[in-house]
Amino acid sequence: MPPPSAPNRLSDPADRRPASSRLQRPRDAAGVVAARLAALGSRLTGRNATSIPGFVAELIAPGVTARFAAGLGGVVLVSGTNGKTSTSRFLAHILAAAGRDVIANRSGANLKQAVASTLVAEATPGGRLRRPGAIAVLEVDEAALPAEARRLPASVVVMTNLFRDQLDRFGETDHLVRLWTAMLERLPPETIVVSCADDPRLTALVADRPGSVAFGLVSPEATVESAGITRDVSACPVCGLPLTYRWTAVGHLGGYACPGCGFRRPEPWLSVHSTGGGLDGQVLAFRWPGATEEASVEVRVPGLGNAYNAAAAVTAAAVLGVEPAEGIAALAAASVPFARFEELRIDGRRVVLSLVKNPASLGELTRIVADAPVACVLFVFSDNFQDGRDVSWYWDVDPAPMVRGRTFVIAGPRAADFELRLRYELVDRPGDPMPGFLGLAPTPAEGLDRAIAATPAGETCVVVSTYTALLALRATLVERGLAPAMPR
Amino acid sequence: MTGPPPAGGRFAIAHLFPELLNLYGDLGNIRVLVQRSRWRGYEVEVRAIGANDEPAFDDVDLVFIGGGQDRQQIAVARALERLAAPLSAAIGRGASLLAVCGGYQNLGHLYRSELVGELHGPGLLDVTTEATSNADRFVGGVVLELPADSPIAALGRESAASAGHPEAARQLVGFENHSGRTQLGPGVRPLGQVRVGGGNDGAGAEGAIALPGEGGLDGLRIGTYLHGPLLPRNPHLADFLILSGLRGRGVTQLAPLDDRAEWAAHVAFANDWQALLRPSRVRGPIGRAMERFGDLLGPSR
Repeated sequence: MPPPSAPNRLSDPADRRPASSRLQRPRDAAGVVAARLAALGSRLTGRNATSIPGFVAELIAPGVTARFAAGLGGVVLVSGTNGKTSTSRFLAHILAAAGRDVIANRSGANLKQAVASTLVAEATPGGRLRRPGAIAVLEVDEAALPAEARRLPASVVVMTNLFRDQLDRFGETDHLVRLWTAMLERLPPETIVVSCADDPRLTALVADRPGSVAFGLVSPEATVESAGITRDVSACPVCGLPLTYRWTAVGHLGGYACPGCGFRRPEPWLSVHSTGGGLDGQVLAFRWPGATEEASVEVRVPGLGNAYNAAAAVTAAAVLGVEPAEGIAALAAASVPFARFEELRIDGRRVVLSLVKNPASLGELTRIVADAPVACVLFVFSDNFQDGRDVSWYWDVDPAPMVRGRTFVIAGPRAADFELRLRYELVDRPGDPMPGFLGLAPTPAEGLDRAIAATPAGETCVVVSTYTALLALRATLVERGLAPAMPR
Repeated sequence: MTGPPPAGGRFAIAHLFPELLNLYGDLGNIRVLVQRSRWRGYEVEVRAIGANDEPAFDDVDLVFIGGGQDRQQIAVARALERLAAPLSAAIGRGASLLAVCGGYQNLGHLYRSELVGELHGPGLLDVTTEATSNADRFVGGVVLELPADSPIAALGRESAASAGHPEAARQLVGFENHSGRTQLGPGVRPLGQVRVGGGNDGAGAEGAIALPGEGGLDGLRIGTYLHGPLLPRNPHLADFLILSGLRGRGVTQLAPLDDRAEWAAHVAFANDWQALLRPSRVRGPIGRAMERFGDLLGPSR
């Protein structure tokens, strides 16, 4: 049984609108040229030019992003709390492997201006699209999604999950759910929504929408509890009674049912399970209607979160006409996005960079790192605007299993806070040294030096860091010639 | 005075509605209360009391209630109607109370917001709260100055001084994120005065405190918007809550702990937010525009 398919504007050229109308084109061209200059200026001053070009182009030619998007062969918006970047990366890879022309935004640059920058960079100084038939796979910040879905003609919207995240910036998660509800009401009926069956909030959101397609985990036989201490969703999103769970995977994702109103997890169209692996990667096995047996593939990223991301990408690709078996096979060669278990070799040591941003991702990472052969862990906690200024969430997870029996270093603006967090788990008496603790490092780069020095040659050091600190740390590594420039 | 704690001493914590109110690292507050009591040799029990559970406050020394979303606060208000009498009785006989953010609002007389309407509370704290629009939320780091005669400051004086941060004992630090504006009645005093941040209503006061014996209740009562969580970075407040709760068991002082790591985190947080004075100071469209612009430029190498 094929999933509902998205309108394919490639197959119907008559439906394709010109990239810019005759009247608009000179203005759009001016916008593109100005954006180029802004990007150049931004790079010359040592910045990464992800946002300013789009901002400048929209300033000069308002609506230029939407006009370019309308000229493409399709637009896929990928949003949610966790897994946006990895899902987008997987999806872009599957589509490219299937011979489609793909445009994708840069890792993590997912706010309005950055999305605009991505599309404007695809236009010529004459104001025309270079690759008019291409499919744009755009990762979009969850708070920015409603506005992007309004201005861009999306053929597919992928919703990965909704966890508690950056409360200082987004407000409460309920607020975000209200914004998404309003967005879905306005979304044209032909737009296909791909969402996670294991997330009760998303299931409730798409319940009334025909033509939505769900992905999820293969329900485990046994009862399984997730690593996080708290579940973000405990009440039924329909009637408010406490949900009962037969199993949970990551945070509140799992097999839920409401004892009151009958709301329950729907059977996903495509489901996945991990059949083994370590820090290096895992083997994923997929099931979908019409497949006579499971299809397996080895991917280079560990963890259940990535199993979900792979399933989301295969499902979205199926909606766009790529056979699931073909999409699954393509995952084997998908590269790892920035800082999602990105592996580096430094001084004969393996250094693995991993991003944390909320209790769900920290709980998942704790489980992966605890079970892996790791010699040393470097924690870097920053609380800049893009990280969320309130990092209290790490008190809702017990991160101690990551460091038991290992050495560890802590750095970043909130280093002293995270030291406290671990102290309250690891010491028998206050003032006692924490076993394995090598101290606070004054800067993340010095922290890395210390952690690498503490890792025996041939062994593994894991860097656990929030977003802006990791970005800065990686830039230092690029400068020192220890990491390739930002992978695309 | 630093001798071993009484053998077999118990400390019982009731955590109200953890399934509904768990938004802001609230488990961190519980973790700190548990460990600081354990480190002193007490046997600690944490009793989660859910919205549908029977009240079980008989031998409780401390009651904690955390923060949640508006929708959960409706369920909390409903549950509190049922639990108000036994809860008041426990505090009346000396259990301490810490209410953070949503719990602070719910335990007052009234919480009014567009989404939830009017929610009446048990009035365990003499406060009323009205929510403003989401755009006027107070979001950011907070540094409070405690009153000169504050028993919390007195309790922390020695430990902060020996850690090299004597000024920190007169402060509380935390993170706020609320649209509620809270007015204090005569039955409570402000917990402290805001040096950085918004506080109860932007006029200077933050939180509410009623000391043991005040208002005819033997228990200490504290309500505040500070989370982040509140207690790890404020060891003097954590100890004051524990000590007040244990008075009923005849405990008059707590063995001092080595709190150098706690005070270091306290001071680092206070310094960062004092240096920035944002975004709590630059509010509204200008503050947001400034943050956007910084965001637009991207992180500088």
